Amino acid sequence: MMPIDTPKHIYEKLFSQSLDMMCVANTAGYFQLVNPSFSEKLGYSEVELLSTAMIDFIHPNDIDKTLQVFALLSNGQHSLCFENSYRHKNNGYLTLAWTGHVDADSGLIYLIARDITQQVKVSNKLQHLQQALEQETIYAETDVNGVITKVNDKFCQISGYSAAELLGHTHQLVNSGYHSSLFFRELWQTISSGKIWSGAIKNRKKNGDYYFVQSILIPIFDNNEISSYVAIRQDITDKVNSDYNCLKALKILNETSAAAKIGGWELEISTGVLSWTDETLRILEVDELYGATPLLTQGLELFIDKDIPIIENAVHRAITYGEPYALELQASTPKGNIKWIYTNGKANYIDGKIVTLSGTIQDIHERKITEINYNKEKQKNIVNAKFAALGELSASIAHEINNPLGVISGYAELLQLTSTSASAADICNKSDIILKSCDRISHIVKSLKKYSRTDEERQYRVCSLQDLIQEAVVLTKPKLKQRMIRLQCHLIEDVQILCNEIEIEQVMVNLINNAIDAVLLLPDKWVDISMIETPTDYNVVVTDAGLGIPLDKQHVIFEPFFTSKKASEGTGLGLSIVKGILDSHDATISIDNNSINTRFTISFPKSV
Amino acid sequence: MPIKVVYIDDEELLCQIFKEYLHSTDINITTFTDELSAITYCNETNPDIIFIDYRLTQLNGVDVAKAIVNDAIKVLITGELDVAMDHCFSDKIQKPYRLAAIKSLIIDAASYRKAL
Repeated sequence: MMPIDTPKHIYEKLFSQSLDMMCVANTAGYFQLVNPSFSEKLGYSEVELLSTAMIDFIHPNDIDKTLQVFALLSNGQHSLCFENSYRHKNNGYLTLAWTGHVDADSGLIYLIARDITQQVKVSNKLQHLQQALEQETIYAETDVNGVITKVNDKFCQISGYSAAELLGHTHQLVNSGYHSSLFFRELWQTISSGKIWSGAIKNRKKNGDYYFVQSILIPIFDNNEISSYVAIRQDITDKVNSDYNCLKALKILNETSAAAKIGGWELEISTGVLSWTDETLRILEVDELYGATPLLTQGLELFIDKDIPIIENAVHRAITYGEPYALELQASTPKGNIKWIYTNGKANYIDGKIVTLSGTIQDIHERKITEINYNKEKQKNIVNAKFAALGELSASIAHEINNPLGVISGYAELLQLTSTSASAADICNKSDIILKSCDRISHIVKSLKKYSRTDEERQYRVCSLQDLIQEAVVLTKPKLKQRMIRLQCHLIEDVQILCNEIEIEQVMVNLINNAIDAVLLLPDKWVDISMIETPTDYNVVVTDAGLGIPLDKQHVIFEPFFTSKKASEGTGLGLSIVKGILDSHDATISIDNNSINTRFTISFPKSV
Repeated sequence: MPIKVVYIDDEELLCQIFKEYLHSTDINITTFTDELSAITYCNETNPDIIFIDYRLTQLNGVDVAKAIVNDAIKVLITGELDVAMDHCFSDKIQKPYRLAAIKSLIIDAASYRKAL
């Protein structure tokens, strides 16, 4: 049994020990009596509370409201129930919920206040959240069966349906048909078991267009049972489309790079980590990366030993001085292939500091091999043409040698015949002729000497242009003579050019031989070679009796294997070799269309 | 009657040698460096043997031989590596030749012609 106290004690305890704030106020607006809870909650002493008008504790915003409530009391209302904010002694405010009544006899007001500051805060927050969700997201509520019970404007806007059209229906209305039934089954299983589901859903608008929403579906409980579902969604259509476009662009880029056989790479300098595009992996024939991120050192291992220091140096200079580079290198792929590749790199700055290097890598194997073969072939062609020219010349040169040989042999026989009778003067005279004939032969042999050189190295020497032309003339003179072609030379002395003499002589021999072939059937056969000095060049002009080269042929005559001659007469390599040689001397050859006769002009720039 | 020999070569020195070595009471040598004069001469004088160099100034040896219309023995002289023999020549001599060999050829030819 509880000990029975006197009623008075019970009320006193209830008043003094209650956590709720209890007070008695008078109609003048002052506290008459406050319980200890008042001081505890608001921080004022009892004296402070009793000596200050109640209105002075109230938040300015709540004063009017509070006065109105009290006004009702004076108008005969007996009880009240309201909320207002009270100032705490340390300047904060507490939200208090008041209930009270008026004692009609005394006119005193008996009030109980409860501190609901925390609840108000929470509910305010919830309210804001709810408001924000309803305003800022695509919001819907459904009943337990998924029937839409509430939608906001955004839902209507995005779906194109009015609220009236949506309410009472399930989300089947906006189903795009894109997702499988399994997808929806799993979704329902999740939320109906009380869990939150989130994910992206593709929906269909009333007009048939699609839209994408990132959705959060929340089951709402009431008495431990799901009473409804809330769906909050975000429109991600643009993002999906831009992602799709990005992917599409990336795919196109990948396909393009694959077609062009161009890969990309990036080196992060602080870590040495390399990033490679798919095509780079393909070009280097790397199936799998060593771990997720290859390092520079591992990238270097993909090149032949000879090239590694070249790349290291280029990368070093790019990192240190920001120098861009472009290299043709041989990769040694994991599949054991040696492959020519082109790679370039440049420094990328962030805030003035080199942070990454990036560049491209390109498979140039086929081109490079073709180029190498072409150069070999070209070299071979030059050699072949040299031999062909030599073969052609040797026939006519034989004549030039055999004549003086005949003279030598003849005089030797004469000397033998007259060994006893010949006078000293006669012997001198005859042996003099023999020696002159020997000189004739050795002069011809000397001009042939160059052809016998086998040095692979192309050597450049300073040579007299005049001498080179004259030696070419010596070589071709027999042929000119045999075909009864007049040759005129107007040469300038003391013109020195830096050149490979055999090659330039070859150029002249080729041009003279072409001129010979061109004028062979003409009634008036002549070839003219002259040297002309211009402010910038030394020109060698070879003109023949021919009447020029047809304009439509002019662009092809310098191409290899073009020939106007019969198959047995020419290889068609002559002018292409001439041009190749002149190119390598920074000299040019052109057809002078201002001349009535066929005229080629070779220009050697003076600066070389 | 000395044997009448004509030598046609644009090489002046060879003409001189020919004359100096072969000219004798038995052999009468006439040389030409100009083929056109030679043709005229040969057609007029009817020599026994004519030596014609292949490469001349305006015509080649074959043309010259064909232009000479008599039954003289025609010998082609050539310094070329490869010249086809034309049937109008009875012989071909490669330069450089030995004068001694030419001499015996002349004597043989002369006796052959006399025997005819």
